[in-house]
Amino acid sequence: MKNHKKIRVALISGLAFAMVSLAPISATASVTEEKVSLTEYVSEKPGFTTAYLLEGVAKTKIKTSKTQPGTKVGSSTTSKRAVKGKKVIITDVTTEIGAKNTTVTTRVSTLTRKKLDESADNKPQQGVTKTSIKIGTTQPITGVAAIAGQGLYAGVKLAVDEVNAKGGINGRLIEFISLDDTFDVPRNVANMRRLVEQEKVYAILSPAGSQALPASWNLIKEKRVPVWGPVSPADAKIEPLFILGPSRTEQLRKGIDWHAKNGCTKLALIGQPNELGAEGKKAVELQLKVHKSMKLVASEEVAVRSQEITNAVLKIRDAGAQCAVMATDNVQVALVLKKIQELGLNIKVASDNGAGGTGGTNMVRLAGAAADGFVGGLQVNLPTDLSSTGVKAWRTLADKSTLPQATNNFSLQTYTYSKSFFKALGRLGDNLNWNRLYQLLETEKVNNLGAAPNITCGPLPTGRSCAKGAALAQYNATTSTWTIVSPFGPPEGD
Amino acid sequence: MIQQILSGLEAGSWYAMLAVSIVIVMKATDVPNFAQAQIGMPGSYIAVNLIGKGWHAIPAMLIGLAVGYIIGAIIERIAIRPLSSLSHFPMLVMTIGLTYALVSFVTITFGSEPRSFPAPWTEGGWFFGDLYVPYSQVITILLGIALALILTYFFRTTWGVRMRAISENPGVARLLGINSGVVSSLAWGLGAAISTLAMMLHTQATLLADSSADPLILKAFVASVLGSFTSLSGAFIGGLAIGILENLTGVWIGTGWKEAAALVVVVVYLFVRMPSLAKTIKPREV
Amino acid sequence: MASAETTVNIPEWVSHPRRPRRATVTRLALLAMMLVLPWFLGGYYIYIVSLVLVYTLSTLGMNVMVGWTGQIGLAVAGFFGLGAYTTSILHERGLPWIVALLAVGVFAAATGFVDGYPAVRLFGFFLAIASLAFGDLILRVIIEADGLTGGGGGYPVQLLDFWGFDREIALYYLCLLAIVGFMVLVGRVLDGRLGRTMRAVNNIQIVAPSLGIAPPKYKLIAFMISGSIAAIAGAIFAQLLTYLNPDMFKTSLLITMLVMLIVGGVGSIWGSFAGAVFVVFVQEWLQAFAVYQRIVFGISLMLCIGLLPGGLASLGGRVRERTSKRRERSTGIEQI
Repeated sequence: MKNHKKIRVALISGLAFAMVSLAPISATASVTEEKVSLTEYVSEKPGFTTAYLLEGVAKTKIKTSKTQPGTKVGSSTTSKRAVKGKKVIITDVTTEIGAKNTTVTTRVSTLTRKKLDESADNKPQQGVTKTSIKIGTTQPITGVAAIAGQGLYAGVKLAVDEVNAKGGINGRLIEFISLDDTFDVPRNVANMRRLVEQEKVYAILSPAGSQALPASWNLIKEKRVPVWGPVSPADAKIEPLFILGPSRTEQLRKGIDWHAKNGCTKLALIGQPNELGAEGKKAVELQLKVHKSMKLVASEEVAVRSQEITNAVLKIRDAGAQCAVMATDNVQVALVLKKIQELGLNIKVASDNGAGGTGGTNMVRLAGAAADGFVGGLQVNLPTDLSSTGVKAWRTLADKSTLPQATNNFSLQTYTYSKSFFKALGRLGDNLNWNRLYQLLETEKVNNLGAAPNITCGPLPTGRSCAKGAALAQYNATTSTWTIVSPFGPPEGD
Repeated sequence: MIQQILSGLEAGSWYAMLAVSIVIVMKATDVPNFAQAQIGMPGSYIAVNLIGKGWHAIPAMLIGLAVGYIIGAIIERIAIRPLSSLSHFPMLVMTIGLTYALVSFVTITFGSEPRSFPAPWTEGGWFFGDLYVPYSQVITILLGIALALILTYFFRTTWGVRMRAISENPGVARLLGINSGVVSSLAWGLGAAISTLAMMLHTQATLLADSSADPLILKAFVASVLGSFTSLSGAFIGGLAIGILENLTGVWIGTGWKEAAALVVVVVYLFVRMPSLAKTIKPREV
Repeated sequence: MASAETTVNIPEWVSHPRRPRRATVTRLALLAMMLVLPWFLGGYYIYIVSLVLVYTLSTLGMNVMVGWTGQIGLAVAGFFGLGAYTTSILHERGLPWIVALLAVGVFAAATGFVDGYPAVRLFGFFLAIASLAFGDLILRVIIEADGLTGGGGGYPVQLLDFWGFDREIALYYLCLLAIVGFMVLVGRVLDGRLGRTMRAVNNIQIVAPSLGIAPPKYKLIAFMISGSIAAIAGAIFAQLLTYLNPDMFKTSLLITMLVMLIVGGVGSIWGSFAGAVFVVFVQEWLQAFAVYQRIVFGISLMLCIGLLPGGLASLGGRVRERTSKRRERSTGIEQI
């Protein structure tokens, strides 16, 4: 191609490119008057954030004799600030009747497009279209925690399917995106990021990973994507995060109460050297103040994912422990129970629902007969308690489902959480803006019909821990059943 | 204290067995096999499955050992022999790739949920006052010693001698009519079978999962290093020593440092013994 | 007795890089493309590309050690973590990030010295084990110093403030700047006296002393440089992930880095990039099936060792060889 031809092509394409990229800036906003109020405007076009108000004032002088107060002034008033020809909204008319003249002041507003800073209240709602709401989650569906992960997934899916079968929420169907993080921390972090930034979900329901989720709190806080009912990190006290179950600390405290009730005075703690272990230590610290006759005789560590628990067990034995609480994973609980049985020790063990798999099989399956008498914390009701309406409703759906692990305790948990979210969403109406959602959730009281303790969320800093009180269930290895031994309620001293 | 030492001997026996299999493979085929622990996984899984189907433990374990041997031989034939001209580093990387392939195979076939490995000796033990000696510990330690004795005897047999000849001087050995291919197969099969045994004993004491092999391999390598990669007895004793040291570290210093014990040992050992090691190293013929 | 020495064979065309004009133009075009990428890609993909760049940098560090001095140094994951944690901790304590970065670079070099000083006299496999153990020990110290590092509980990174610019995009440009800078720097060093001496040390280890070259000194320098680069890559990594957990730096990361190194091409600067792209691509593509990721890595490692020792970077050379052979054949010239 000859040189000048090349230049021409370059110029034209450059120009075209510039026009295309600048075009959105010059477009005008479309305004639908009935939906718009003064302080909010939701843009229909993605990519640009919303407008702000441009106030204009028009004053018209009319000869007094001809005017009645309250007379509507024509809508063609313009003012210095309002742009000519632009559609305006009349926001206020005041009439001042004077002796000679009546001044009618009309306030109008026009809306122009302007790029706002990101933290403005009127961000376009990501994840919501006229016909769908996008929900996402990341769970360990495969990998070492697959039994739990599949249950967690099944619960959300059951809730989503149930809602969609009834036509969705106010006409919008739920689009459910589920990612598998195989219980790997970096994968979980990447998944959360992907849900927020690439999939642009409206909310994240019950993501799992007490260790990995904290990595995403900065992102969540910045982007304000609601995270409802995660399993089960500590409460980070940020706006979008709603913790729906009693914390690990709370459950372990109840476990210690149970030990105290059964006459134990020498307590041992076995924990991992991380967040889990820290929650265990906190539980011990708080409850020992209540149970003055109890002493902590041993505090042992087991490494994350390690199967070497023999040392820890031997040391608590040597310290004379009569009972123990564990802040570890379910495999380690099972191994410790087995070792205790093997050594013929009489040490009673309690743990939380994550490690104990309370209500389900993922821990007791590994421990076998050694799990007899083990006491585990509960965040939701037992999946076998059909006397509760909530549990029964879930069970009906779960029994029909072909999803693996649909009937385990984790499924009940996430089903209950998701359902409460959809209930709240239904009350929002058509405008699902996050500001409105957070306002609603802060006052929402959800009755879980016995499937779990009722949830009451509230404003920061403490309001995001929405559930108070844990329950305890004990396992009977002969009948392979769990029975509640301490109903939902706060630990002693609260 | 004796309790800890016994636990240490148990863990040490696993490391020792793995270390021995590493050294066998190294001596016969000059390959540092990073997948030596993982090679023992398929056999263990098959044994567990058979026990689940009702088989008695011992026949199931023997089948597992046989499976291990076969897998070792197959891997040798397909992946190792064609590349026998490569130096250590590529082979090491190759075996790292093998690690991943083996673990993935196990995960896909058997799933990643942990399961328990029941055997007649996994429950119960003897009580001597405060001291509790589980049957499994005794069995493990005895099997380790038995293995050591069997191997010592083996290396005096014809095939054992052939294996030693090949590792000392492959060229001359071949001139003497020793079929290096058969020896390689034998070494890998044997190594894999020993690894399977070690894995089965380890998972009987804990749990069988697709990640079971990972914590063991580094310690086994450390043990082999303690034997300079060439001495079977050095590797064996090294393994036992690491097991005991680990447990004692856990008691005296803290459970967190237990994992680091083996690492510290090897770092110190190599850095201290390094001058004398340098003398034993023969430069590769160019 | 089995020998324990190891040499790493570097393909001819790597040790004598001849850069035809075509290659430079391609590289500039690539750079230009990278510069305008944020206009076309969304936030998540920018994150992924930034990750690729960070891994390229760490692989580059590994290459200095393994590729050019032929030492099997496997402590890179430990240095990566060291850089990540130390920079973030210093930054949190009030040190400006760049200063912290430089301090960490120096600190890592010093640590590399400690690791390397006894290790340089080790050969092959022993070196591999020793460095592997050293890297693991670094990680262990990080875990145990939980008052400082948060230990197993994790450590939230204090984020850099890019004067109001979009954080993701600014971080991306930082990565780009770092990697381009280092690639050029390392390339220069490679062509210069230091680099040539290092390669000589690798190729002629036995003879080098008689030429007046003291191998241990150069190997030690390699340890220090490699550790430094890996630590700087780790520092940027920390800003990208915004949260650190010792779990992220364990052996599986090392193996992933090894895959990047081998598949990309040992000893090749652009191989570092190719390897990083490969690994991150596989991780994203097979995102749903982690176990398949591992199979792909395992098999690609084995294939590269067996069939493609120069990794992806050597593909270019091989294609060139083939095409040049074809041309010569057609003109009847024999390739001797």
